[in-house]
Amino acid sequence: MASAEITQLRRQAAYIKKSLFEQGYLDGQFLQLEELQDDTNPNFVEEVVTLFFKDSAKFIANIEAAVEKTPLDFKKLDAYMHKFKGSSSSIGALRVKNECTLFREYCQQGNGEGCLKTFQQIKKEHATLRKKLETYFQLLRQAGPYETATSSH
Amino acid sequence: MKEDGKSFLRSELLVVSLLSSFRGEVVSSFVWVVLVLVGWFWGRAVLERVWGKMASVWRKGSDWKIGAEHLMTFFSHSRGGLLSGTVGPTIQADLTDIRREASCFLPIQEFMSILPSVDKLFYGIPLPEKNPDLMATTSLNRGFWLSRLLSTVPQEDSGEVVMDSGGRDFVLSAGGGGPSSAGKILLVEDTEINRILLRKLFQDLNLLLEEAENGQIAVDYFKQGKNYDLVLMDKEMPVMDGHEATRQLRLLGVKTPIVALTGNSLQSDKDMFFQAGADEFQTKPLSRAELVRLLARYGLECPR
Repeated sequence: MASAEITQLRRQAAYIKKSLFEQGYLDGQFLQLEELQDDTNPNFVEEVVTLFFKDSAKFIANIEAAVEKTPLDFKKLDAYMHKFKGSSSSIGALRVKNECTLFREYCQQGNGEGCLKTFQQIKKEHATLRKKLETYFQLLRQAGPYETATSSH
Repeated sequence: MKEDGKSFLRSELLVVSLLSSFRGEVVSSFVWVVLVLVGWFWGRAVLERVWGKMASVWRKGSDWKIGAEHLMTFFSHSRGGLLSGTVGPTIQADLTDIRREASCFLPIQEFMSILPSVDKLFYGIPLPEKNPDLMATTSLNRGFWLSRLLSTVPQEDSGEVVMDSGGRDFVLSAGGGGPSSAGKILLVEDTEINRILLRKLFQDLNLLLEEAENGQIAVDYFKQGKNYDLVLMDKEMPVMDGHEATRQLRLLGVKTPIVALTGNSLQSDKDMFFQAGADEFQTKPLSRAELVRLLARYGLECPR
């Protein structure tokens, strides 16, 4: 691949990353992940993010099943969401984390309607983040040996 | 040893003189071989003489008095036949966390007298075989290092011996693999991603990290006699949560610092942890800089 094409791909990746930060999808924790990536673990960030989406799909499925039961088991919902929130926080998924926090507050209040509404928002933010990050990593893979986008947020 | 060496050298020089009167490649090769052998012999003699003057006693734990500079100790001993039970001073092999006030350097002779009992820690296997890393030079095959850096923790295949010699108590530690990193930390965390991140962070910092997926496993580790310099304790975990694990560890008499790690910074969470016996409370996720500062507060160095 010509170097101009590689440069273009990396620029696109950098743009996506920048916009993710500017729109609040990601926070500084994502940069911490990137700092852990090195020659011995060249795909560390993508691997961790992939693991996050794999785990979070299970969390969402569990919560989906739990919210369909009546009455709502707020304790169980809170427990699921606690883990989901923890994982989101660890990769810097800021919007998802904030929605998880809101969901837990509704759980503690016993507000079923709030929980359901927030859960829909969580799924939406999660899906958007997943799509954008998949595009981001795809661009980086196409650009060649894995490198983080050079543009800072 | 020195006199033998001089005598040997004189003989060797005489032989060289005689052989130099002959011509031929065979003679030259022979002379080179002899010179190499002499050089090796003298080098080893010097090595043992110099290093034999050094002695070290290792201490462990933050409540020990940090003594004078510690040096590596090189000892020579014969292989095999080392297990003869207690020799010399009274020796009590103890793999639990023992801390005593001690400050002394052992004379070499006294130290060497307890070597058989030290070898006992390695289950009857002479040190050079079980722990080749401890050998100063494996080719010598008759000596080994006993060493441990200050504030390190013995590895799994190592142990500690508490010795009482002339009313002075001290701890001799022998570690598998020689000087290791500057601390051993136990991470108690159920979320895999969090473990992966901290694992990588600790790898980069060249610190030993052991992991437990819940509080019960952590408590079991301590009950098995494992020791750590620091415990990082998550709050919500299956089987046994962080509060309960902290409480049980303190009831066991564990004095290792425990830092609670949780995503919530609620005062109620903090209060519960402190009541259980935690030393500090940190909000996750920890950045690298925050982790380094935290480790420094507990005297844990990052070699890199």
